[in-house]
Amino acid sequence: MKVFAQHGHQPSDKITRGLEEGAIDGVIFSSRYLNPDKVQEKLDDAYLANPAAEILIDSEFYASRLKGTPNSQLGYLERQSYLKTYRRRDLVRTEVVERALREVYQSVRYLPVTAHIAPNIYVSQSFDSMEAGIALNFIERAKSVFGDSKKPVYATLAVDRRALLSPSDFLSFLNDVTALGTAPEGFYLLVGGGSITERSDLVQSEIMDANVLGGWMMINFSLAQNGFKVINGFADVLTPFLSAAGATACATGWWSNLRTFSMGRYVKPEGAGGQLPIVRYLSKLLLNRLRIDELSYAAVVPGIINGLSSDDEYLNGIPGRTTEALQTWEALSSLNSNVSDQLEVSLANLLDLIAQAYTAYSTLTTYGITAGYETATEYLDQLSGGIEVFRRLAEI
Amino acid sequence: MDQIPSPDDLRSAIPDLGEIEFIASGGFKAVFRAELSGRREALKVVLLPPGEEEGAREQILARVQREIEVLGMCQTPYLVKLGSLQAMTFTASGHEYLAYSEEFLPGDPVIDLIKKGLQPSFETVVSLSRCLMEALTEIMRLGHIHRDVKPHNVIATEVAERPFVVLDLGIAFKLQGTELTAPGAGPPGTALYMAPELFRPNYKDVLDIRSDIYSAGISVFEFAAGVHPLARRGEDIHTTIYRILKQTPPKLETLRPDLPDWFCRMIDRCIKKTPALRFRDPQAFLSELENGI
Repeated sequence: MKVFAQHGHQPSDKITRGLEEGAIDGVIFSSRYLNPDKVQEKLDDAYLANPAAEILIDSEFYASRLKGTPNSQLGYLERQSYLKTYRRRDLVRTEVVERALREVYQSVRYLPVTAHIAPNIYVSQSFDSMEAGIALNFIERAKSVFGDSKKPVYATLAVDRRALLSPSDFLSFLNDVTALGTAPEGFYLLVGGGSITERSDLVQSEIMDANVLGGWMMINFSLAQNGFKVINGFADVLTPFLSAAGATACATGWWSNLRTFSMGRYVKPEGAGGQLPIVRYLSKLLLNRLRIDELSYAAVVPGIINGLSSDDEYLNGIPGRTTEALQTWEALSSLNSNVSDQLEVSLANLLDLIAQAYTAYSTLTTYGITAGYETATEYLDQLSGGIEVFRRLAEI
Repeated sequence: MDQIPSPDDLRSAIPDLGEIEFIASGGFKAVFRAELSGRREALKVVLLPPGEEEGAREQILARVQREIEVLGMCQTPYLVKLGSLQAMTFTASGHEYLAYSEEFLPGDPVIDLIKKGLQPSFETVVSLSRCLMEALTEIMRLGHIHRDVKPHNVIATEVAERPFVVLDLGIAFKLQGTELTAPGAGPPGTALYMAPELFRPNYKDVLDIRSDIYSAGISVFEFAAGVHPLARRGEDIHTTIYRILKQTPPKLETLRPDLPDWFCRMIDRCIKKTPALRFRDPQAFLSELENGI
């Protein structure tokens, strides 16, 4: 149950400090934000911060579908030769899939990563689709192309939330994945929301849905049951839920687009851009983030302060972005302590956490602090509903 | 099977046939205990439909041929071995038959032990699990699926080296092979022990060794607990099939609290409805079993 950094825009010293201070166990570097001329330097910095760190690079091949579109925003991916426009009818051919895998492999094979993330396309609608068939082919070929590196291989499985809403299709896909003859050591799992062609503010609320969470947990569970390691990208506050279901690691970053995944992140925002989001604090008790001014609620519900080492900088003024990232990772690692080897125990612990969050919100309302109550409790309903959906899917 | 040939019919058709005794018969097959070339063997006699029944004769011939072919290649003691009589056809009383022999295994079918209501020890239940999964490992190695694993097809031999032996590969399915059931026909097998996915119209698309792991899990559960996890005595088969498709079975530990939790969880996992939640293959089961022990 490890916590990784999801690398992105403006990393500054967040990752190196996270690794040095033990807040994270590894990092998933983004090729979009990794200058190809400085990759080695960045990886060396990470190893220097923690020689035992797990270092991976996401090629973000799934962003290929946006290559060449006028409003795409692909950063350093534009310099990667593997990022091409592929027609779907070409990708159904195995030789095209193998060539795409090889091109990504060539770009990373000599880098000192601890494991490789093999690329895949984004399954945008359903597991009963041509896209899902192509994705399965990428997964099946991943090990044979990346295998000669002798490093573990994680096949990317990047899916839209909508694909998780049809259990029969998605369970069939899982049956196929777990029966593959040539399988990678693990999976790098991304569950996305929002629009593929434009930026959306709805991503987080779309992901925080009982059926999506239950399905996401089910993918982790079934893959883990079959001996695969699963690294979840952009998992953020869902980390303890996915860890309980069997995840090996979960990643999150410092901007909202590093906390929930969306293909819309590769699209330029309309207008000139807005204000930077304000610094927030991830409260373990509330399973949610608070603004700095809301930390004063601790006067009536002291438990909303985590009691962890990163609290001090919050209590002494407005902290910087690095502190915010460290605080998130520290809180998530601490939440992971509720996860046990026994699934039933873990699920019971998570339901307890949700119940404690309800109680905390209710206590706040008795003191007249009602702002955000409905949104927060709806969010908690989805989390507890997600556990129920997971139980049903996993036949527990 | 109707039209079971008489011992005299068999003696006149099969050279070196000594003493012979009828044991049992199924849909198109009868089994005899017989002395063949001085050894006691299980003589299997298959009724071949007349040639005018389009495709049926060829289908049965091909199935038997496949069973013989697979048994001939098997290298595990946990699957029945071929006997001395190679496949031969003969005609008796106007009917055409195919006959071949397998080794004779003295012992009781596991279903008879279940019916006796004897509660097996943990060691015996583990032994059945291990033998079934070893047999499936071999069937898988040969690129097949058994499709009819059930307590009726497993003999408890009381031979230490092979305490349980799996019989009857008559409806074994060759992965990536030629189809041996009529197009549009339902899945062959015994409904009570069939995995849920086999009731789907597209079952051939999803068929893999995990369907056999399910059947093995149901068989072990029934042997350990004395009751089938989903069927109820006296209810019609459609209700049972509904249970197989929709109802969560009880946990084995609720019926056999004396068995170790970890082992009960393993058997519970074998009978999950979603194949992805079962063991990936019999070796995965065996490996976890050895770790547990």
